[in-house]
Amino acid sequence: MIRLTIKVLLQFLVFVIMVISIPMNAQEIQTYNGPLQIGKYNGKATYSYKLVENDTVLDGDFTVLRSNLQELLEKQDYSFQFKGAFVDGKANGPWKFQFGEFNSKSQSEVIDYQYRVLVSGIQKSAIGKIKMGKPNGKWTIVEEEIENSEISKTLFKSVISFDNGVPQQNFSINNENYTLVGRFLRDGLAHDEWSLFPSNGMDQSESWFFKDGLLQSIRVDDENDHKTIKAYQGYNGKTKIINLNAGYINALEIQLSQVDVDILHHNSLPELLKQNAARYQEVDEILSELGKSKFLPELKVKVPYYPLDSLEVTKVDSIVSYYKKAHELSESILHNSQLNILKLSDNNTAYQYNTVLQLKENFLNPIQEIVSYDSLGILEYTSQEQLINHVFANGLPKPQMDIEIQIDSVISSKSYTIPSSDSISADTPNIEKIEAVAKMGYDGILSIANEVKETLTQEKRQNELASLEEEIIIRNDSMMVFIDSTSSTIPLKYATALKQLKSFTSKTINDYSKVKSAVNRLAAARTTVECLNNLNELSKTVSQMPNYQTTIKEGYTDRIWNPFMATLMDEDIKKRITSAYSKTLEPYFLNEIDQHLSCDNTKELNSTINATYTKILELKDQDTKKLERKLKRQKDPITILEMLNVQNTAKQ
Amino acid sequence: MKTFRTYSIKLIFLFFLVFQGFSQEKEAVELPEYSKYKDLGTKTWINTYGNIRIGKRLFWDAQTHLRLEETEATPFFGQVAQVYNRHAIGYIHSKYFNVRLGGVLRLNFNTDEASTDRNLVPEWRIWHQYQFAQSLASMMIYHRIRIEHRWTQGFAENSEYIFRNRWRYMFRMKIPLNNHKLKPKTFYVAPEAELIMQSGKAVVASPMEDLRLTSTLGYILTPRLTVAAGAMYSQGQDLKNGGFFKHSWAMRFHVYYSPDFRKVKNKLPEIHLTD
Repeated sequence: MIRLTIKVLLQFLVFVIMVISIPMNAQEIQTYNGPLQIGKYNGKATYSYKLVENDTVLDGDFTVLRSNLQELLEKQDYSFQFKGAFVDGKANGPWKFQFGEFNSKSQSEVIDYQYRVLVSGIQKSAIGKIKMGKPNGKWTIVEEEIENSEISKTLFKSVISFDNGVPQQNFSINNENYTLVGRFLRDGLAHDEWSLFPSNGMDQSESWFFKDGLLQSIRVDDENDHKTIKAYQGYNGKTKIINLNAGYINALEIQLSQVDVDILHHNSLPELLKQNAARYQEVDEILSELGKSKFLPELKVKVPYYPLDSLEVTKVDSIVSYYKKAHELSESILHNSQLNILKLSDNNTAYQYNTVLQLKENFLNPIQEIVSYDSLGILEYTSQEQLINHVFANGLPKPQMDIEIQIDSVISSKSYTIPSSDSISADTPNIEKIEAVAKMGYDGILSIANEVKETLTQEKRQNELASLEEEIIIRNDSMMVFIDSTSSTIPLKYATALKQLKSFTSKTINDYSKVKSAVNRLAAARTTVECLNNLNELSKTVSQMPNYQTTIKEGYTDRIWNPFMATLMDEDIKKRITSAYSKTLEPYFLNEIDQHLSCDNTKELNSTINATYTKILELKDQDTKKLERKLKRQKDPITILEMLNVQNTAKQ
Repeated sequence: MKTFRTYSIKLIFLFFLVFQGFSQEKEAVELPEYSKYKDLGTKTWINTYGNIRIGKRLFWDAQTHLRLEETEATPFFGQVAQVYNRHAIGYIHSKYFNVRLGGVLRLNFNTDEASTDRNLVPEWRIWHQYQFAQSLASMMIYHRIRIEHRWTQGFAENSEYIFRNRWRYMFRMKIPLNNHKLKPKTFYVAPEAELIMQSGKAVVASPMEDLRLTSTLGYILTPRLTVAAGAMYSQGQDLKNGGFFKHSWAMRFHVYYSPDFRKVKNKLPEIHLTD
């Protein structure tokens, strides 16, 4: 009895434990083992996670990897391995990312009872620590070229220390050509000397001197000389903290003279930073797929800040809009093939064309530079005076200019004045000066565009005529070939209709050739091409009419069981419909072609024939008792077409 | 054809049984020393045959025949002899075999011009038929077995019905003349031979009721309508005395029609049967 009670108690206990443990399980860390797709990476993963409101939140160790020996041996394999840990869906702890693209020449060696396959290719890796999604501590990113399983070249390497996502202390970035070393303040601002020196040791090296994020000067050293380029040294006004990227370099260049800009290694510093950013981006994309991430390193600098007020912003918008319109017009003129040909022989066209070129150079190109600064968002990082000095190094362009024309090696010159009422005085605010230049450029281009339009229309008309006439010939030829080859294979009555179409085509072309006036000729050419198109279609339809007849006959034949003969017999059904087609409508169509063909009715006739055919086929499966009764003794084709509802279809 | 052979064997076996039955009967009819032919008669048969489809495989067989006979004054069609109403429900097993079962009401007119008995008496039949068709080159061959159970009575007042069975086999060919097969707008020739045997208490020495040799020329107007005309010679034993043979010539005119009133959508998939 007691044992029985204990057994019952035990069963109850097990039940209670199970009931309690099921919901507990839901909060517990679970492990996943299986395939996983992260963006473009598809591999085998092992990770821990928990369920929070039915969402999978990564928590604990994480590994995903892929490598395929078979593919490697066959052609090429990409392999990768991401290893790290998460806390509450955010990457946290030491992480390692490795990507590789390898191929093997099927070389192998045996070492310690293992087969080793030698691979060549490129291996990229990123190793460091992450604190709740942000880089923390030293991060090393390397890209190496591997040859026969040994590192042969370092293509890229960056070592940056972070504190909670903010770059700190010393860093170094190098690619095949340059090495950049520098230092950050605790708040991530560039500080002190950043040195950029070439790997080959031959080219010049640069030292960028920052003070609290603001670039003071750049010293350029080469073998026998050195030069210091002044940057924002001595600036005391408002500043703004921005990322060190291509936009910053552009803003900087506005400050520098063209000579200085040419001395500097073009963009090699931002290029290195860009390469670096791309690699951090790669890691960030992976982490973002898995959870929340903010892995991009932000290398900060300070720039002078000249904020635009709302009026100035409107001016900038109008500059952009003038530029876009003028640019579009000038491109359409400069790339117009007819103008390009005409300008070789026609004085006036050459004048117009060269004026546009001149306007482009004097007005549009400088404005384009300003527009590009606007799109980079760096207009506020330079004073407007500096901007004008930089863009219009030779002073603002004048509305009068001399246009040089060269035809048959004879050079002449003619002046051009932009028809614009705006004038620029010395005390006009800078932004308005720029706007005025943009408007003048647009006005100039517009006036030329209007002049050119007339030249073009005439030219266009002649070209159109030429191409239409070419088309007339092609259509005619193809139709003649078609009719000649088809006529011999179809019954006589259809062949006769085709013959009629052929002679009508010749007549149409003959009529066209008699049109003399140039204006009428273009219209005539257009209608002739259309007419030939329609005739072409109609002749195809006529060549199909024997098939239409057979198809209708076959369609309207039923197989009937004759019990007296014990034989299946073909029976023609709905004879009134089929005979309306074959005895009234088809002869009517052929007669129309023979007697009443004109360019005006060809298209309609063609569509009537085809619509009739389609309609007849459709009627087979429809209840047509009433129609059949009406068709009885009806011999008028027009009335029959109306009954079939075809005439209307054709006219639509 | 195996089915057909089985049927034939059964039929022959049946004949033997019947003959055994005859030999046991005894009648006081004197047979002539030699068989004798009665006077040659002349007739005209005007027959309509309807086959009306009522289902995928079922049809209604509706036949109305008008049979005329000579009088003293007029050969072939002097007087009405019989009016047939033959009906049945048929079942199409396949292109090559069909069966049907039904009844006949035949109105027999008294053609004996001297008789003073009743002028018209009905005759009742139950009939079933098994028809086999086969194609041979361009023509069709048909074997028809028809079995009839008939109740007839004489023209005399209050005459009793007598019951007889009829055993009929017909061989028929249809040979297209102006086409390679039987199809609309085709003339055809149909020679046929039918042997009609009978049995029953009243049949003592005259089991061969009729042997009909017919030839018709037909024309298929449409798949649903055919007309034919021809001549028939027939001879058979007189029921009362097996020693006497009736024989006659008949002109035959036939109309075959097979309407199908079913809706198109019901009809379409079944037209081909199983071919």
